[in-house]
Amino acid sequence: MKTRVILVAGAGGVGKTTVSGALALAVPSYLRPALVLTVDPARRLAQALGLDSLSNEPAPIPGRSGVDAAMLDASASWDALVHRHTDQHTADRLVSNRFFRTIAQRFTSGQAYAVAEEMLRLVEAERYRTIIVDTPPIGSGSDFFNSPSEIRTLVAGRALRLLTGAGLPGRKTAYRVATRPALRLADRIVGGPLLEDIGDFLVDLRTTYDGIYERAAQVQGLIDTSDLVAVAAPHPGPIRTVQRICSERPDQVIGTVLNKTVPLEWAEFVPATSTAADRYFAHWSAESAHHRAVARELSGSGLDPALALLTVPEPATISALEHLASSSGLDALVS
Amino acid sequence: MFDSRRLTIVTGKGGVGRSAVAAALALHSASTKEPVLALSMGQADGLAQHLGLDQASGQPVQTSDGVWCGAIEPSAALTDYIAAQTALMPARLGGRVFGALASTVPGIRDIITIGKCVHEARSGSWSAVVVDAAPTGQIESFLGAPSAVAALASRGRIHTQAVGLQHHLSDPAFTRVVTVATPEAMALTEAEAMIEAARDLGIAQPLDLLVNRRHPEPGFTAIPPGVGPVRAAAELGHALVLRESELLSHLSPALTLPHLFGALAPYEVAQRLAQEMTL
Repeated sequence: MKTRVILVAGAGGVGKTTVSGALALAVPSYLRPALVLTVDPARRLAQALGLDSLSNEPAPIPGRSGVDAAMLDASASWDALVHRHTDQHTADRLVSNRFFRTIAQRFTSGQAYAVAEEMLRLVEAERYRTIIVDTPPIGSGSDFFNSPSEIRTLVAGRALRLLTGAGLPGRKTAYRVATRPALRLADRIVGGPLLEDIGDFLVDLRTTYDGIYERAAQVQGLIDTSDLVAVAAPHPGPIRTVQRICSERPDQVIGTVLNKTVPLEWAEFVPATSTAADRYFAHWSAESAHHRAVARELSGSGLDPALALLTVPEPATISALEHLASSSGLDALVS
Repeated sequence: MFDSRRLTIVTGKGGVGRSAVAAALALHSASTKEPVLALSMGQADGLAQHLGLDQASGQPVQTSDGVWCGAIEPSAALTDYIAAQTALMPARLGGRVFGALASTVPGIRDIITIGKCVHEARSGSWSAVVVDAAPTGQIESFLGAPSAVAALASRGRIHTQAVGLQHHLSDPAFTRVVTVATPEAMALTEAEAMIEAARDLGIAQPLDLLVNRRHPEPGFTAIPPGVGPVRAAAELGHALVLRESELLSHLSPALTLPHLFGALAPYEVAQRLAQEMTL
């Protein structure tokens, strides 16, 4: 079956996870089975969907047939990635390299890429007609959208070539400061043992090259052709992010969302009296005018944003998510 | 209310107004003693705009309030770092190798960035340095880079440098780390995790929690009768205040800043927040 992938993107804190859950629940029956995929480590989506917890393996949302949810465990992703793309022996040696552990935690591109690879795997498995992906926040250090290219650069071994010279040496012969004066600086700064570990790591990582290089190209292809829903909240950073997404990937954006807004009619309402409540209302009227201006600004990118209201508490149940989808017009994006 | 320590690092997940708060902290510091350096990391212009500039660059630019604003450009910082290491050695080829290493090993980049912040704070040129730290979900790794790299690189110059940086980061007389959160469940959870993690890293204690965008009490209790926007706004306002109080009930923020209603230019936001800090 042909799978439609919808990537939900935006800056941190705008409500991407909420929007992703709402979109998944709004997928009409003829476009199910549907899956929502998240990397949100706080269990909020799981709680909102009434699941005890989410795991790597898609689990059905109770009471909503044909809609599943899964959460990718980012910390395990590097291990899985490595095991998938090289022989068992090298993989085991890689994951026990002390340098690898550090990189696995720090190199957020690896986590972002692992999510993207999983997404491709699910598409190829042809289990779902619609997959909604709650992507890692833009501006948080890991760029989901460029992660395949970054991973390709890492494993392509430019760093290795610079460390070891041309060609692909065997392990333990990779690094000799005496014969490579260019290494002297690196050796002096980071020290021999670390440099050796890095050398070993890069040599072993290089064996994943063939598998990852090709696969990453396919993953990038999926990212570059999927539908995009860009989510903002009424603050400068998130708005700029959505505008950037719309200008960089105009053919992919199918809709934008302005979340946490107040009703736009409030901007025009003038109370007839002057009670304490009326004076307090003036603050919210100003807020509404601001949100109206922001919505207009976002429309300038070519699409009128769907408006999702600020609620207390934030949508945290299945019915709240379904209400969000229908009241904001988000449901039109998935049908 | 805030004393001016030499180095203030402002953290917080994306979307909580970290850049606005960092700008406000810089302005507040400068009102007591100039000059203050406000630094951002990477290409984000949020900090600069909150200080009235279009963007920040590697060279700090003076704004109108005793605050200078600059950005740490990773490649320039790397070049400076290499130059500092190679006083007696030809740097060209060795620099490329090290550059490749630095791009492969995120901890090394972090060391270089933190090194620049500490260097400025120690330089004597500024009464205070305020850093708008990158909004990575991995801020713990950023602050943990010195001790992690010190452990990894048991020999080599970077070990000494890392140890030195860790010393400064863990000295509460020198460094203060402020974590910004909005009164929302997710932001507070992350802020608490950050404070927890920093404790484990030995970063200067205690960490300050700064709550931003807390909604004000409506100032009346009786919800107006009837239907319509005035009633709806009153209900929303009361619900927000109640919810936020619940979320904050077990926490002791060092400072709480109000939600600012309506449209304000970034520069105005920072000015207003700085005024709140003197109250």
